[in-house]
Amino acid sequence: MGLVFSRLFSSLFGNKEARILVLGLDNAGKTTILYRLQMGEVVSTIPTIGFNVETVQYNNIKFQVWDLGGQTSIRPYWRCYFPNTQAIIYVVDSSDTDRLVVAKEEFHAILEEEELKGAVVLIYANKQDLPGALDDAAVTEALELHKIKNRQWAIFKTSAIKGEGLFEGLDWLSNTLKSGGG
Amino acid sequence: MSQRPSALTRPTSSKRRLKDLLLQKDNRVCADCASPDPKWASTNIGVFICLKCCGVHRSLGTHISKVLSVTLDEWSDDEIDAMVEVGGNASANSIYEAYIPEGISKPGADASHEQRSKFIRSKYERQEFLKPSLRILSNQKKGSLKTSLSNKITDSFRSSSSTSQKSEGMVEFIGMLKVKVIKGTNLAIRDMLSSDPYVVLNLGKQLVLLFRKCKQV
Repeated sequence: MGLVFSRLFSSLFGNKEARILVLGLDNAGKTTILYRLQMGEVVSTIPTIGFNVETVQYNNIKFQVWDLGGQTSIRPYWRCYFPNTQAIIYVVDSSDTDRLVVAKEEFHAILEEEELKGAVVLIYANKQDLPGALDDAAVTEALELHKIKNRQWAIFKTSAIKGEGLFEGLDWLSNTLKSGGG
Repeated sequence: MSQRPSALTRPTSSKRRLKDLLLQKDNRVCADCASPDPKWASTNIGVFICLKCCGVHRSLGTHISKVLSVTLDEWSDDEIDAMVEVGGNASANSIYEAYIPEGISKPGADASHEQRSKFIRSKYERQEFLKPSLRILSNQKKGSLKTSLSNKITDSFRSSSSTSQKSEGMVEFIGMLKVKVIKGTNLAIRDMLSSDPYVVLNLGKQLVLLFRKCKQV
């Protein structure tokens, strides 16, 4: 009852809360993105074994952002975090063209998950600052995003290092969530 | 999410080979800072590294260093083969740290992120410690390291072939020779940044350099 009341209260005053999962292969830039969003700074990272969670307040939405480790053997644990998720931010290293096929397979496997059926999807074509990085159109093709059905999605070119594209993506996400998506 | 392949479908021998390589004496310390017990690796460079140096390697981009965890990642046979072929930290460092100039010292296990980052970028991204003949000229643009190094190696071949042609004069075209290379083992590392093998053919005084996208087996 208390939860219902607080949700009603915050929706009346335009303060929505959203639970977001940041997923993607190892070294896609998930942790760098999380802290760029939260602190506005570039932090030096080491591989995330487990998760980082931070709250990001943006456009009257309180995003609870979960950044989960991407190493092969810990990807199966992502599903422990699926329940009650409104949105997925899927991060791709656009310069790591060798592994785009793996990134695609993991991505479509996530979309198959029953618990994420209602989640909207924001894709960050990250590391645009690196030589040879594919643009959003090429990443769209590589990830076969046209196959997505019954779900709101968008892709943005980002550079977490330079701070480009991240908040444009979050704008889309907050507008989509406010209009009832997720 | 990827299903982990079962032990039955995956030959255990390649995993075993990776473990054995990791147990080799020179691989018991990080190739960059000498911290004990490294659990990470750069699969294209062929070195075992510690968690902190791995963080720096990851920031270089996969065109410089492709990082995997020995314990948390699935390795392909090709990736293991590449590590075995390089032969471990001592062998890789004999190339990447062939000439460390005076005044520059390797970071220690307790080095700061900045110290680590500076050394690792010099070592792999700018390749400043290679044998002078393989070193990249400082005036060359950043971002084209791969091509510049390859060009340098090929240039050395091209220059020798052009001089031989000069002395020979016009060479009459008499036919085409097709050569198929079936197998090459224990190949020397000549091109540090890409793993595409190439072939040099000598026929009399003619010298041909062939680049073919061959698959490493």
